[in-house]
Amino acid sequence: MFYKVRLFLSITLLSLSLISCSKDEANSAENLTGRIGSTEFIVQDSSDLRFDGVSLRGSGTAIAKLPADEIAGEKNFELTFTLNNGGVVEIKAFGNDLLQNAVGIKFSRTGDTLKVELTNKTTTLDISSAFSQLDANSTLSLHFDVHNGETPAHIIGWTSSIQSPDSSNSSFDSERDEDTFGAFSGKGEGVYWGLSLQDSTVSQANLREVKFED
Amino acid sequence: MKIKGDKLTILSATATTVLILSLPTKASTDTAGLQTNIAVDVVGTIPSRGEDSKKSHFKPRDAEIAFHGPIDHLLQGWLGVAAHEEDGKAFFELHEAYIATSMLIPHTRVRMGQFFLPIGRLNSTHRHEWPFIFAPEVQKSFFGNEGIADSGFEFTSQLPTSHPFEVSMGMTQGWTFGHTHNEGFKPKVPTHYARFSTFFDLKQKGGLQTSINALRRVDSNNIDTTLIGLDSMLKWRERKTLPFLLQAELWWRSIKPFRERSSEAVGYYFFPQIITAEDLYLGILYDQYEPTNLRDANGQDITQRQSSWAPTLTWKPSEFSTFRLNYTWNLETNHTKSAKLKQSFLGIQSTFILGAHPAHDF
Repeated sequence: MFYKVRLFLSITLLSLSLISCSKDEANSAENLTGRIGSTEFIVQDSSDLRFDGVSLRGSGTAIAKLPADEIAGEKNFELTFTLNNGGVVEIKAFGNDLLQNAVGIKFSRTGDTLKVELTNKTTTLDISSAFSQLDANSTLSLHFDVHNGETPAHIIGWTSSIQSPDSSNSSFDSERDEDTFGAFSGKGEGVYWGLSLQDSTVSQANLREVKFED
Repeated sequence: MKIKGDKLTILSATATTVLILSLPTKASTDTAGLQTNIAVDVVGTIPSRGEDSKKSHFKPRDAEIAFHGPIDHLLQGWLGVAAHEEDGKAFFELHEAYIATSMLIPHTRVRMGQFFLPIGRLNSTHRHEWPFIFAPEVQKSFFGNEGIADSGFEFTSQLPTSHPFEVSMGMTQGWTFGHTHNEGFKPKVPTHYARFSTFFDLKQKGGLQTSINALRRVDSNNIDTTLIGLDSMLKWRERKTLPFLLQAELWWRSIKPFRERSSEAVGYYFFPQIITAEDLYLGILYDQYEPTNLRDANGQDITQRQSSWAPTLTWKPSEFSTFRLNYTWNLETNHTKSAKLKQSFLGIQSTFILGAHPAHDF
């Protein structure tokens, strides 16, 4: 009798351990690391985000392992991505280690409509009109200068087809149209950068030297 | 305040000003009257082979017009405007506009208006007066390519001691700090600064000036910026030449957003220079800049250092004209990798001053 009770308890404990291990394996995706091109990312908060060897796909947040620059620095962020219907890709620059309080450039797709927003801690600004030439159904390739040493942060965006980017051939310049974009104030309050995805795929995410120098 | 214009407009304005200044006026015949000077700084760079040749250029970097003189028996006035090129367009902007007096408080100069903040050596002097062509990285990162100017008031006092000590303290509105294209935003705490200087007479007409500087402001986003620095100038003079000069600065900066981790950086430069022949000087600028508490997303410390070497040859026929040639090597060390050459280029500079030039500080 005692032997049977001990056997029952052992089997029960073993089963509980196996279940716990399975949950741990599922949760360990939160620490999933991988590369998009040469840039190493660490998944922060989702088990639905996966690296497939050449891209990052799914929904969740991933932080680049190496910081963008010091807080008053400036860098160019190069991005190639595809949005599913209802999908979102946001690049967050100069945020803290949870990618909070960053400068964000957010792309959202609803059907054939692409919405582009500039975000920071306190402001969300619709800048879709600057990117009206883009096709929401296609793979999009852009790059953005974020000059976080200026106040407010100076953001300039180009499509990757521009061979010699400068402020005159940019699609967007946060200082160019002060009537509309003068509403953007503030800057990033950290040194890190990363991506926030929802039902999307990012196939390129690179950090470069700025294209435009004041 | 900026006014757009094209190059022809700048030349026209400069030519007109020179013409006006050359006409006899009551002020110019008054020995205590208005003094004017024009300073032009032309700079070129030629990247080394293999780099982007589109970065080659040779063009005016600054064109300044300054007026200063007595307002009345108590006050003096200073006005300086400068033209810079940005993005292919010329902008006139106000550099300095202030009144000053040494007649109200004994051993104290008070000034009020817009001026370059007197912290550090480079920030206190106009760029065309620097002993080298390009700003060291610490100057560019902390103060911008040219320096910080702001509006406020300042007191500078000679302490009543046998050894010379000078203290400057000021407060400026702090709506902007560094490079910006807008009027800025009202800060939580305005810019305030202090500078403590001393001077040592050395044998054979030498001198050493050393200063400690501190500055702080909290901007509209509640980001607290603190700067502490040390600057020194060591030189010997023989008549109008400087057989030896050593200029150096060391700076530390902390930028702390509200409830976030601070970002700290250290930078320094030193520039020794000797005379090699009549009016010909050879110097070398070394500077280094490094964020000191950078970590990766796993919390591991990482290194990100920039340094540069720039041997510089200067021909100075008089105090009114200067010609310079230098070659710069910029190196960077990122993360765990060893230093690599980021860029190298030849630099050329020509500066001239027309009119009365104010007396230099040491």
